[in-house]
Parts: sequence; structure tokens; C-alpha cells
Amino acid sequence: MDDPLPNPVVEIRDLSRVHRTRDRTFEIYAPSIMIEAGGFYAVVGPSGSGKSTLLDMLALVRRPTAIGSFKMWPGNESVFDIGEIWRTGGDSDLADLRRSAIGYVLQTGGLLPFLNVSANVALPLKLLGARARSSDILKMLDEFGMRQHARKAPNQLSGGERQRVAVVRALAHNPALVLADEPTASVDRALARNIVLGLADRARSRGAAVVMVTHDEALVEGIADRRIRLVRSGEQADQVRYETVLE
Amino acid sequence: MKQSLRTSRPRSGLLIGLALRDLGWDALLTACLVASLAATLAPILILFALRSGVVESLRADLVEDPVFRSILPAETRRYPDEFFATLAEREDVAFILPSITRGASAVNASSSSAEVPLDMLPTAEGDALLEHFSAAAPPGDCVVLSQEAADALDVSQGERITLSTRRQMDGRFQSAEVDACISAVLPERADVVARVYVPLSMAVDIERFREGFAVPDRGWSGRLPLVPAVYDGAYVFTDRPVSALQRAQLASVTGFVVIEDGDENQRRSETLAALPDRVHVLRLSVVDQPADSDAIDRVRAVLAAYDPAIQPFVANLSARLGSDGLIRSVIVSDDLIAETPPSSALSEWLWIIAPRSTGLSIGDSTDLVVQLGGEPQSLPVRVAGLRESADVGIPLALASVLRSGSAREIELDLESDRLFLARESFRGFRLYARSIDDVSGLVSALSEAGISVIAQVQAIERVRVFDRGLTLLFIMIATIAGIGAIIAMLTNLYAAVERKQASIGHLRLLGLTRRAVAAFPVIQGLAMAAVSAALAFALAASAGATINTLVGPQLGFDRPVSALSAGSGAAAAALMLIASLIASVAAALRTLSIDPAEVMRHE
Repeated sequence: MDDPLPNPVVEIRDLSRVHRTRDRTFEIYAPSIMIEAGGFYAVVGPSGSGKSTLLDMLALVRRPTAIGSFKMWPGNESVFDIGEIWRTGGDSDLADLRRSAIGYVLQTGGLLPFLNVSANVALPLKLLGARARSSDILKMLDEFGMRQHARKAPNQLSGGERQRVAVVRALAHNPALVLADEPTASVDRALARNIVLGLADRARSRGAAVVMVTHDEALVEGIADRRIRLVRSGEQADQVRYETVLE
Repeated sequence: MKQSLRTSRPRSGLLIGLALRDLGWDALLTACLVASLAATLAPILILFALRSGVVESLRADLVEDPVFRSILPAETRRYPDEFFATLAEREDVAFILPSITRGASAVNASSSSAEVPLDMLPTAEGDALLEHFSAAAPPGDCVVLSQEAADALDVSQGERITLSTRRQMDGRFQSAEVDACISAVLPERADVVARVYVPLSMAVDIERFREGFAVPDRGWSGRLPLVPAVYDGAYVFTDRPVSALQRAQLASVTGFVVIEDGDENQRRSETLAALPDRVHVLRLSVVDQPADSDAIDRVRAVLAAYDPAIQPFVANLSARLGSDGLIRSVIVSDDLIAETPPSSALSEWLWIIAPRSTGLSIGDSTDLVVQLGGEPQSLPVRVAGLRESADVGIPLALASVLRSGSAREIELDLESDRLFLARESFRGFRLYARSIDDVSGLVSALSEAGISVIAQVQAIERVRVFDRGLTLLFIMIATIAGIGAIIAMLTNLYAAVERKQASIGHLRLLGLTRRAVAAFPVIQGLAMAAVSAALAFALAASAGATINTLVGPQLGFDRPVSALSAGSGAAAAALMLIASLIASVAAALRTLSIDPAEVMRHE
């Protein structure tokens, strides 16, 4: 019998997804990944190895081709069998999990252009039916030095500012899991490091796990607790296979 | 293992708010689409308002003017009381009243300052024409005047006039007068003719006077409406054969169209009169309507050279004696027509020869039940003789007047001991349909009953055809414009979804379901449709007001040329909302195919 997990957020076993292009087939295979609360996980690997595809599957927007086991603990001691939900086609269950358990930071922020900064940050709370007090929102923005931009539209912000707002929004509803896909690709290195540090600090303090895709391992040096590396594990005539290795 | 997150789903108000804020963020494009939709809808609303205004104006003229609801007979004929009773019970009939003959409708009216001829029309409670102009039916001996008549007489409401009529009788002119109060004067547009509307009873009295009858209630003298003697035929006895020429002359001028040699057996079944001492017998008879005593005179005149003896007879007259069954009468009297039966008191010729089988004795009294005007009527008779036959014999004098009663209603006046002809059926009527939509149905019903009528069917039909044409035109234009609006909205909403894939993908990532994001373009379409409908309504209302101000007076309309009701606006808004729902389906389906993973990748 396995030891009980310390504080799991996601547990994956034998998860794979096959992706076919016109002339080749790519397979990403994750034999075993355990994501724990408060941990910072950097998904690294060569370009085209499937880092983003792995993140898509964790974000519950890309259906795995095969699922050995895929469980998620959204933070209330409940455990969800994602494989079962995918099999039963429960769009609303997946939406519920995305809404309550996951926060996202995309490459250029992913802010909704028709909402100002404050409303963007408040949205995850409102979608959960929670009260989004203005003072709380401002306080959250203040942690990233964005308070003065609360009323601005996203297109009035710089790239770095948008990313910081995106981080605030990703953490606003205290998700168990924050997914970030190259969140600092559009900002300079110093600022990028600063944003990632901020994300890691705030997430850790809230007990949230962060899974961040990056092509720049140096960026997460000293920040990431673990690396999920995608390595080429096999190649045939028209098929390439990448496998995750937890470091 | 599957558990519930116990998380509340996003409220629809939040979704609507997000969709509307997205529209607001895209304000310029939203405004462009709203403006284009309003520009499409506004002309339709203006067209609809014009259709409503023009058609309703024309229709209102028809509805409001009772002339268009009136139905008048095209020919003079007799209309029994049942005709009026039946029509009055119909739902589609607002008012029906008998009218008098045209000849009797011309009366003279005099006031203190003038005397003018007027056309007289009977009226009664519920007269649509009078009611339309807020005039009550004239009570008692009051009358209502048209403006033309009042002007000619120089009188007004509350004053009195004298109505008079004249007739020529026995070579002398006779007149009758009615002193009448004026209960109302109709406005000029009600009736352009110098006309007096009188109670039906007054009109009937004047008509009867004109026809030569006495009207005792008004003290007007004249002849009494005695029942004429009529015959179904006559036997003619001559010493020598009647020539073929005389026979043809009899058939053509006397009213007896069937001329045949007499048969003694048949004669005995039709008359018990003694056989005159003549050798040659002719039987003259009618086909349908009985002949009067003038016909007998004409026979006598035609055959003057033959010095004929004539025995009129009445055939097919059914009667019942007391409680016995129906029996056929047989004429026993040899009275000739020189003794005109109605001239004498009824009691003088109320006698019968009864079948011996009835057990009656000479001198007994009993009732003779005859069909008069379709109703059984008892006449007290005395038994003057007995006979072996089962048939009852009655005097020719009685039979000949009863024969009149089989075709016309006659009344037994016990006070004067006379039989009188009842009032004849009315010769015409004035009818108002409940609405103009009822006119054609009534015209058809009357036509099917063989009654030709005059009605404003064509005028009503013209408006209907105009209405149908405009409606069709409106539907065609509205359909084309509606399709255009749907296409415009569909392409815009679809393009908006394409343009906003990233936002929609983000919303999916943030936890909205496919169904929720699919509602986005639907909500946005509905919102834009509602705003564009309101804008279009405002534009159409403004245009309508301008049209009514500038064009209406030029067309001579006293009602709005453009009539745009709130109901029309609501209907237009509803149609726009339906169109937007149809148009947003494609955009909603497009949202379902947006892959949030792709958004994450290419955001």
C-alpha cells in the first residue's frame, strides 16, 4: 500500500495523448506525475515536445487519448476522477472544476478586453457566485503594484502590467492549481523573473500549486521545486514519442 | 469517486452583463449594426403605419357611415312579418324596419313660414342612421328632419310642423294631415335629401290613406278593407256553342286561362247550384291565382251575344266542421256575383248544409274551421240544411271570401260583423348590417332567398382589396427586409464571434460551459435587436408625425395618414427579436467549436 499523499492537487498515471499531423504522429506520455499543493512545477523540454499539450490536459481543455489515472483535488478534500468525467462527457463538471480549482496565466495575460483591470480580477470570484468587494480587489492588485491601474482597460496596460494583472486574477479565487503557459514570453527577462517570483510567492502562501510551461529553464532557476521534463523516448518512421520525467 | 464541487453556476445576470459589456466595448461596431438594423426596420414600420393609417381611415369612413352598412331592396315585393322577425334575430343585423311604397312616401310639410314636399321614411328605435348622429327615434307623433328639410321649412328642434298627403278618390281630391313635433334635426352630412323620418305607425297610416283606405284612429275617412270575393273558375251556360274565337278571347282577357267543355259530374262536385236550362256548358278556370268579380264581368262582356248564365265556383277550399276531420266544401248557393258578399253583414251568410252523418239538425249552431292566412280560424255558422254527402256545403258568398283569406290574411271584426283584409305585407325594408364586414354575407343570404338588394358591397370590397393589396405588398417588403436584417445580423454576429474567439476561449477557461458561451451571441443579438427596434420605432414615429403634418392635409384625410401604434412597435420588436434569435444560431454554433486549448496556444 502506497503512503498517503502529503497534499496532492493532481495525480496522473499513464496518461497519454496522440496527436497526428499530415506526415507524423506525436505522442506525449506521462507515466506518473504528482502535483502537490504549494509546489512550483516547471514544464520544460524542447520545442514541439508537447509542453503546452500537457498543460492543456491539466487545464481540462484537451482530452487525453488514454488515461490510466487522472485525479484532481480541488482543495476541499474532495477528489475528482477526471478520466471518468471525460468518459461521461461532463462539460459542465469540467467547467465547474476549471472555474473553482484552476487559475490561468497565458502568454499575453488572457485578460478580457471588455472588462477593466478590476473587473477582470473580480470575474473569477463572481463566476463562483462569491462577493467581489472592491477593497479586496484593490488589495490584491496592490500586492503586484497594480492598484493604480484598477480602472484601466487591458489595452491601456503594458505587456508586463497585463501579465501581473493576469497573475492577480489567476490567484483571486484561491484555486488549488495555477497553470501558466509561457507567462513572461512577452516581457524582458528582469521583469519576467520578477513576475514569476511574485506568482510563486503568492501561490505558495495560498497553498496553490503552480505548473508553468517555459522554454527558459534559467527563468525558473531557484523558483521551481520540481521540473517536469519532456524527453524523447522513442522514434519510428513516422512517430515521435515524448515522455515526462519528474526531476 | 465522482463528487460534486458544490459550486454555484454563474448567474444568468452575470452572463448577460458580460455579453452587454462586450457589446459596449465594441461600441462603434455595435452602433453600426444597430443603425443598419434600425435603418432596415424603420421603413417597414413607416410602410406599416401608412398602410394602417390609410386603410383604417378608409375603413373607418365605411364603418362610421351607416350608409355603407345599409341594405335596401332593389325591387318592390311583399315581405311578410316573418321576414322581418327572422332578420331581426340575426347577429349580423343591427336594425331592420319595413318601409312603405315609394308613392306613399311623398308628403307635404308646412311650417308657419313655408310649405315644401318631403320624402318620408319610417324609423324606429335602434335606427342606425339616427343613432349614428345621436338622434333618438321620434316618439308618438314627433318626427326627425334632415337639415335640408329643416332649412326649407325654417324650423328647428322642438317646433311643430304639419305633414299632409293627398289622394284622389271617387273623382275628388282628399287630404289628411298630421300635426307633428320635431324631435331632432339631423346634420347635413347625415342626409342630403329633404326628408322627414316618422314613426312606422304614422307612415303606415299615411300609406293606407293614400291607398284609399280609412284610418279611423286618425279620423281619416275612406273605404273599408273588405274582403273581395274571388273564384277559381266559373261554369258558363249558353244556348249555342261558343265559337273558337270567343274561347280564345275568354282565355286572353278574362283571367280564366283554361277554357274547356263542361263536365256535369265535375260541375256537381264543384257547385250544387241548380242546372240552368241551357244545353252548352263551358268550364273556365284559373291556373294559380283566383280571379275576382271583375273577371266574371269580363266573361259576361265577351259572351254578351250568347246571353250566358254564369255559375262561379271555388275549388280546393278546405274546412273542418266542429271537431270533425277535414272535409271539402261544396258550394250550394246559386247566388251570382251581383250579390257581393262582403257588402252585407257576415251573419247573413254564415250558414251551411251539414252532412247528415254529423248528427246536426237544421237550426243548430256550430263552428266552421277554415284556414285563413295559414292559421285555422273558427267561424260561427248555423245549419240551414242537411245532405247525405260527407261534404259540407257552404254558400258561394262565404266560400268566395274565404278563398281570399287563403291567400291573404283576413280578420273577423265581431264589432262590425264583417271580414276585413288584414294589413298587406310591407313592400320594402331598410336594413343596417352590424358592421361593414357583415354586409356581403347579408347580401348573399338575401340573394339566396331571391331578394335583390342594393348595398355598398363594391365600396367595401374596394377597401378590402386595397387592404389586401397593401398587406401583401407590406408582407413582401417586410419579408425581403427581414431576410436582409437576419443576414446582416447573422454575418455581424458570426464575424463578432470569429473576432472574439480569444475572449470566448478565455471565458471557457474561466469556467463557463459551452452552453453559456453559446448564449453570448444570442444575448448580444437580442440586445441589438431590441435597441434597433426601439430606434426604428422612434424614427418611424418621427417620420409618421411629419407625414401626418405635411402630407395628411394635402390628401384631405381627417385621420392620421400614418398610424403607428405601440402595439405595432411591440410587434416589430418581437419580430426583430425572433429574427435575431434565428440570426444568432450560426454564431452560437460557432462558439461551440471554439477550442479553448487553441486559444491558450495562440492567444
